[in-house]
Amino acid sequence: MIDVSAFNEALGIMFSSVGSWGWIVPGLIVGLVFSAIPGISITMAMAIVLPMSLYMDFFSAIVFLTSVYTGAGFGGSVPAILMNIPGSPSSFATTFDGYAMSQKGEHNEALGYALFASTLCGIAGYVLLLLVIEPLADIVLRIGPVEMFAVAIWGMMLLGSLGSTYISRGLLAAALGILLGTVGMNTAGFTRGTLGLPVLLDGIAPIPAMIGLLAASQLLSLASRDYIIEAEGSREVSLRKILKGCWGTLKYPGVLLRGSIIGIIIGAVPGVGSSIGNLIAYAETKRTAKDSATFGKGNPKGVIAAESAVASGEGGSMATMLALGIPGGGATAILIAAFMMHNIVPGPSFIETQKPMVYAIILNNIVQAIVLLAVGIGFIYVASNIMKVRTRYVLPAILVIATLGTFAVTGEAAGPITLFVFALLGYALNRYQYPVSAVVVGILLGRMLETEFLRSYQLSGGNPLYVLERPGAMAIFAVMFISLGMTAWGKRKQNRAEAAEALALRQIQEETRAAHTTPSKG
Amino acid sequence: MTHFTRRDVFKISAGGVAVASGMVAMPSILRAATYPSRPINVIVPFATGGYNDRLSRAFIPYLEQELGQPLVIVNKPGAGTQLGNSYALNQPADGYSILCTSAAPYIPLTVLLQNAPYKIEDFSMINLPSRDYTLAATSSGGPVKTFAEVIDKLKKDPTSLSIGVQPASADYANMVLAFQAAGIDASKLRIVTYDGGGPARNATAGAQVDVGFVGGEGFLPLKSKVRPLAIFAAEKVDWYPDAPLIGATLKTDFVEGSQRGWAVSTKLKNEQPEIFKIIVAAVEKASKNPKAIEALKLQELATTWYGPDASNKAYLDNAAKMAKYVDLLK
Amino acid sequence: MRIGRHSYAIDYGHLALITFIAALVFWYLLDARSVSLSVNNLLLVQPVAIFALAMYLFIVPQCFHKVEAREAAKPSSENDPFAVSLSTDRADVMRMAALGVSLGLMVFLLDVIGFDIAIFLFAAAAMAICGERRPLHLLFFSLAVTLVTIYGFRALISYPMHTTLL
Repeated sequence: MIDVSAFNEALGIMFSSVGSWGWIVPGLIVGLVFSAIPGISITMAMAIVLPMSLYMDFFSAIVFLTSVYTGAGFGGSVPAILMNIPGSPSSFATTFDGYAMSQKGEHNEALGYALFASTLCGIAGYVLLLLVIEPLADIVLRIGPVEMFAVAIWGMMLLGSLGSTYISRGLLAAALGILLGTVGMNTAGFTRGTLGLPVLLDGIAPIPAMIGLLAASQLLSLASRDYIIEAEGSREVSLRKILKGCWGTLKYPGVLLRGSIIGIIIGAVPGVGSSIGNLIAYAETKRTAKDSATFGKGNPKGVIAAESAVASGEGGSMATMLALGIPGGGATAILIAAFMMHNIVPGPSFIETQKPMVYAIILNNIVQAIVLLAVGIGFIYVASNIMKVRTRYVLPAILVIATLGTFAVTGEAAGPITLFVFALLGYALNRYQYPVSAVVVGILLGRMLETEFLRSYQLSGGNPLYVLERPGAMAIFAVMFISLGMTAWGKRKQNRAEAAEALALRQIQEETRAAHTTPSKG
Repeated sequence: MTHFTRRDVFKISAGGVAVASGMVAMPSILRAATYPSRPINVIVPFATGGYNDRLSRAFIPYLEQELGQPLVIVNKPGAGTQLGNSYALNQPADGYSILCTSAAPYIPLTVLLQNAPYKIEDFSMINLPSRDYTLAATSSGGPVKTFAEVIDKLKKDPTSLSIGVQPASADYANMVLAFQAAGIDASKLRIVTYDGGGPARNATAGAQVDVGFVGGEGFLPLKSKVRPLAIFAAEKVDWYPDAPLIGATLKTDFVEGSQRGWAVSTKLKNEQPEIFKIIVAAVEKASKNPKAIEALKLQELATTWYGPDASNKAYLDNAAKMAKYVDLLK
Repeated sequence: MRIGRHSYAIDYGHLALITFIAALVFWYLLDARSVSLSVNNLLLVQPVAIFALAMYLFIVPQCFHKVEAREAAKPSSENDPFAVSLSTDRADVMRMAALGVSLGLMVFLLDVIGFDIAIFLFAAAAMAICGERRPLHLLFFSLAVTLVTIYGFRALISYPMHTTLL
């Protein structure tokens, strides 16, 4: 639990280094702007500013970098909501309901929901981190391949909520995605499907592929529109509506809490990063919601669930980094490098000897989340104006930026080419009613599924009973099945109730028909 | 390797044209006299934040002092350094691209196992200050106390302990060599493969695998979470003195781990010897700069000056050993 | 096409797409198997590939519609919240195709004619496709996009970009 004297010292560090506070706002803005560029992920945004931070003193550098981290965590949701392009995998689930809302003219509210969910859960993540940083770190190291495999399966369950008209087409799309995700060298050193191209040894770059698949369905179809939203009245940018969205977030504490817990736990697991937490949080929220049928059509709960998991995941990832010196994801790997460049090695000894500094860093992150509220509102106010620009200007610019963004991912034309190839595939899949999202989920999770499944197999020597030795994995599977079972049960009850209602309605109709003896249309 | 894409051909021919036109315009001595006249790229075939990236960023200010031009880091990660290495070789051999890489065992491995489109001799070392060794370790709370115990247990029952290792690496070769020397049937072992040193170390520290074979240097921040069982080095390693040497338990041949540092293309060394000399002298001076030594030491980065000859020898020795044991890696 | 008493309409586009996917999956499976038959290689890939091929066989009949049935079954985009309704209006399809082609051209020409020229040409083409006809607007906006993106990204990323003029 929290160490009071260290906490007081931490407050001392915070207030004695007020100069470093000045880096919060620039850091947030840099994070917001960079991550709003399609293709520039949180990791890349931080990699870009890392060399800059070398010239600052230690605390300022960390404040600056973590501010970029905090800002970038939210920035990706802006293009996701306005244009259906997730800036990075972590804002993929935000597109589901966020873009649907903005197509209904509710982009102001959607961004408000996303921002508030992001800041609230960001704070929640760090507060929890302040309390349990050490025990959490020990648990995290114990999470093995079987547990990770369970998590990956859980992520795949999202497919169930991507309901397509044809189940078979959804399954084929998902299988294709998983296979595409396993291209390249696997964890046991076998190389498949690379066509002899060295760039494919590490697999298909997921960000260009994802942008290509989704952009084909959206951006290209914008060519026939004059504006991103067709209804003229809905294009307005309204501070009142943004604030309404912000405020509306508070109506869903359950969604926020569930998203935060999922986000923190998954964010803390080394090597998973934030790209899966948002999928699980979205799927879980949708499955347990009474109005699950409206998810994907602009339900604010979908936006809140996805964003809350992304934001709280930062706290979890930071915990692993500070306590163990292990990066939870790409972004924390950059932070570790920044620490080392200032001659500080995070890890168990750092947390023992420098507890006040650890607390100061966490506290500063909480401050950043609060500042993000103000900066974020300004940012989305400016960014939403893109809705008022005619597509003939927006579209060329966005496509060029996306192309260069994917170039930034790979550093050569392979990125833009991946974008284009997947754009074609995405177009064809859409044309024949295949859920493109299923392919994206497969690509994002395929590698993790294979890696963890394989390691579980290697570790158990092929004995499936090994899972009984892993209580953690059993717990995850149990929670998953219970949650599935309860939903099925709830659905059945709901269906029964609906059937009863329909029956009652029909009876009433029949009665009225009998009374009036007029032919009904049925 | 015959897989040339059109892009490669274009790049190579474009590079060739650039070199050719440069040569026509300026004799080599003159080019050396003006070198360096513009910023120099440092190609790091790893992502931002890895050892080589940190090494290059920490060392660059001191190297800039010697060369008098800014140095720009270009991270080109992917395919076990193959993408970055190919990229470096495709640049004109004019001294404006320097590699900061884990030369051994990555360059030999990409050549031996991935059919990389270059040869081991295409790279010339300037200095490889960082020398890493495979460390066999277990979680600090684990039941196993010594490497002899590991061997005993595995001899009785090869499935009794699980082993974490990165496939196709120096660590893997060392693991197989050690178990062969001990007479353990490697085909029955429970070997868990990790696609990088980091995940393998986490798995070791978290007791997900009983014994991990990974480069030792990366364990330093996690020192309190692991117990070193054996380090695959001939002499005591100064950055991990409490790690018992493998020779104390077992008589076995082994491969040295990563050798990281500075390299250029052999083409530059042969065609522009003057420029090569300038770079070598600059790296030597910077490596011996007391300020650089102090700064890098604080970041747990190496600055030892071995020089081009010794570094090249170490690199080629490693490559030869890798070639000898390449069948173990497949 | 007639089979027995029914006449069938074949959705050639759909058939081509899934056959392409199935061929890709089949090739991938063969490629993986040619590398090694070890469980460490095929543990996930083989079952998933076989599953995908089974799905292919299951979907193939969907490409054949009985003519009467086809008319009765109207596409119901309402059911699927994630389906994107693509316009099938001829002019719109032409526009999207044109935009797709210009995107492809830009992507493949980036390294050949330089990022600057490729981006400038693409921006102008895309504007024209979206309905901009005024030459000055075409020129200046495309130029602005080119300058901002090239200089912006050059400042952001360390990779060298091959440009011809800038």
